[in-house]
Amino acid sequence: MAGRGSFAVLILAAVLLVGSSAFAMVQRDRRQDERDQHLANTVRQQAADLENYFERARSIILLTSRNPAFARFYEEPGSRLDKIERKGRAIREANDALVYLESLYPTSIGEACFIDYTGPENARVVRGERAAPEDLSPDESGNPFFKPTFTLRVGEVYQAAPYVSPDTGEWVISNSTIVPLPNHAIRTIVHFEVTVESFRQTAASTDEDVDIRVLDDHGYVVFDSRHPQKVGSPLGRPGDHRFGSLARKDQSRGVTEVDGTRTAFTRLRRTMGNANDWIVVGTPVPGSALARDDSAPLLIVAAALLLMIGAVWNYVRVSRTLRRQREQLAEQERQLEKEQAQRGKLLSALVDATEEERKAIARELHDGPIQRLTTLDVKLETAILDLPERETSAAPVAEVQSLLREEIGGLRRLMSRLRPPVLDERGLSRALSDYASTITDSAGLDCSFVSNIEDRLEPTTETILYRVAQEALTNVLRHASATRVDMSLLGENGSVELQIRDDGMGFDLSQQDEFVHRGRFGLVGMRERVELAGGIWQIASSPEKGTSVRVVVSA
Amino acid sequence: MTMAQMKGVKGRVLVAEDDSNLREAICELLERLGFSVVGAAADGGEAVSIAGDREPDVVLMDIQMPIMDGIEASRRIRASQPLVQVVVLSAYDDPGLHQDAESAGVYCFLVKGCPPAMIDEMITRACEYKRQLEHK
Repeated sequence: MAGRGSFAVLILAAVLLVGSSAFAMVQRDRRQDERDQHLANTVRQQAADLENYFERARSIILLTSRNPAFARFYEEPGSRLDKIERKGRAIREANDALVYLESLYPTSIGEACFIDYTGPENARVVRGERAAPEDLSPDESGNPFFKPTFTLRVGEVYQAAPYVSPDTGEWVISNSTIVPLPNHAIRTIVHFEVTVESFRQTAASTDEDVDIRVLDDHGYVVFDSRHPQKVGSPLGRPGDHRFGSLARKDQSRGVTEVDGTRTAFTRLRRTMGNANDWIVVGTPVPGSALARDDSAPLLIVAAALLLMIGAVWNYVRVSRTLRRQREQLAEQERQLEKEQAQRGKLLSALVDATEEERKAIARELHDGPIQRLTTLDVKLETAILDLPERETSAAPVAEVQSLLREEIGGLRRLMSRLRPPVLDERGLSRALSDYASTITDSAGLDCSFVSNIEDRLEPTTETILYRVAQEALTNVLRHASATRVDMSLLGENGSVELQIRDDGMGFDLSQQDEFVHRGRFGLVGMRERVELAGGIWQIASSPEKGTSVRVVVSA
Repeated sequence: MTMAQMKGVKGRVLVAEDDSNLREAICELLERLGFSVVGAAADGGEAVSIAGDREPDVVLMDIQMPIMDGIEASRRIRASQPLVQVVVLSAYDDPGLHQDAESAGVYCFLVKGCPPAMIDEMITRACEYKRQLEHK
C-alpha cells in the first residue's frame, strides 16, 4: 500500500509540476502577447498621427497655395522688391495667409514662406512674426525642398526630409507646393515648416510606457520621444543604428526582438511627394510596467511549487520511514518485553520447580530415611535395655547406633541444605541469619549478617537471593581460605541489595571461563539466575584481596 | 507429690510425633526407661488437646508435623499449662528454629540422631524442673 501511495504522490507531483510549468508558460506567453499588443497599438497610433499630420499638412499647404493673394502679388504692377517694400494689399494678404498657418499649428510652425521662382523670399513669417523686407532671405534655392517643389504639378505637395532651418536653427520638416498662377510661365512656392520637436512632444505624450522612435529610410533616428533633440544638433544619434534592420524590412508592421528588447514597428504609408519614408518604432520604457517580465515570478512560483511538492514529498517519505521505524522499534520493544516476561516466567517456573523439587526431596528425607533411621536407633536403644550383661554386650549395637546417628546427621544437613524450612516460614533475612550462624558455629569462619528487611519478599526473589548467598558462601568455605565473611541484605527505594564480602585469597576474574571449563558453574549459575530475574550481578576479586559479590534485584 | 512420683515413675510424658513407627518406638523406649507415656499425638493440634486432658509433665515434641507444627503447639501448651515442659526432638537443626522454640517456652531442643540416652536425660531433667516449679 505504501509503495502505491508513494507512486500516486509522485505522479501527482509530476502532474502539478508539468501543469504549473505549462501554466507559467501560458501566462508568460499571454503577458508577452499583451505587451506586444500594447506596443503595437501605441506605435500604430503614433504612425496614424504622423500620417494624419502629413495628410493634413498637404491639404493645408494646398489650400494656402490657392489663396488669391499670392496670385495677385504677381498681377500687381511693379518690381518684386517694390511691391514688397511698398507693402501693398497683395503682400499683406500673403503674409496674413502665412500667419494663418501659425494658428493651425500653434507653437509647431518653424516658419512659413512665400518664395519667388528665382529663389528669394517674397514673404516670411517666423513664429507668427512677419519678416521685415530687409530680413527676407535673398535665396532659398539651397533648401532641400526648393528644387523638388519646382518639379511638382499644380495640386501636388512636396514634403521634404528633415533639415535644419537656416532661420530658426531647428530641425524642421517642410511642406511645400507651387502656387497656381494664371500665368503658368511663372512658378512660385509657398511652404511652411513644422519642427521635429513638435512631433517628439506629441509622441512623448502618447504613452509614457513606450519609447517612440521615428526612423528614416536609412535607419537613422528622426526623433526619439524620450530624448529631445538639442537645437542645431545633428539628426539622430550617431552610431544608434540598432533599429537599422527594421528599415530594411519589407513588412509594414510587426513586433520583433531587437537586441533582447521587444520592439513594435509600423511603416508609414508612402505618399507621392513625401520624402519621409518613416518607420515608427516603439520599445518599452526601461523600468515601466510594460518592461517588467512577470513571467519570472511565475517561473519562481512554479519552482517554489516544485520545491514545496518536493519538500512535502520528502516530508511524507521521511515521516513514513520514521513511522515505520518507530513501529518496528515499538514492535521489537514489545517482542523484547514479551520475551523478557516469558523468560521471567520461565525462570520463575524453573526456580519454583527446582525449589519444589528440593522441598519434596527434603520432605522425603525427613519423612523417610531420617525418621526410619531414628526409629531404628530408638528401637536399638530399647533392645539394648533387654540385653543380658548390657555393659559388654551392648557395645556392638552402640557402634551400629553411632553409625546410624552419623547417617542421620548427614541426611539432616542435606535436608536443610536442600530447602531450609525457615526460608518459607520466616523469610529471607531469618534464613540468611541462620545460615550465617551455622557457618560461624560449624565452619570456624566468622560470618556476620546485617539486614534492614523485615517484610517478606517475593518468594522467587527470596529463593534466588538465598541461593546466591548459599553459593557464594559455599565458594568462600571451599576456596577462599577466608577468616571472615560479611553478608548484608539491604532494602532501599524498591530494590534489594545482597552483598557477600570475604577476606580470603580472591581470584583472577579472567579465570571465570576456566571455572566453567572445569565444570564449576557456581558463579555463572548465580549470575544467570540474577540477570534472568532482571537484576544486577557484580563480582569483584583479585588475588589476595578477597572477593565481593553484589546483587541488586527489585524488591 | 504427683501420681507419677507416687508410683515410682520418672515422669508423665506425652509423645507428639507424626511418624507412627518412630512414635511407637519412642513410646516403648520411654516406658522401658521408667516414664509413663500418658499419650501419643500424631500432630500439634492433637498434642495440645491431649496435654490439656492428661496434664503430662513433659511433652516430647516433633517440629515438622501436619495441621499444627511443634513450635505453635508448644506455645499453646505453655500458654495454657505453664508448668508443662516441652522437649523438642526435631530433624531440623536451624538456629532460627532454636530461637523460635526458645521463644515458645521450650525446655530444650534435641535433634534427631542424638543418642537416645540424651533424650532420657533431658526428659528426666525437664520432669525434675517441673517438679521444682510445682514446689515453688
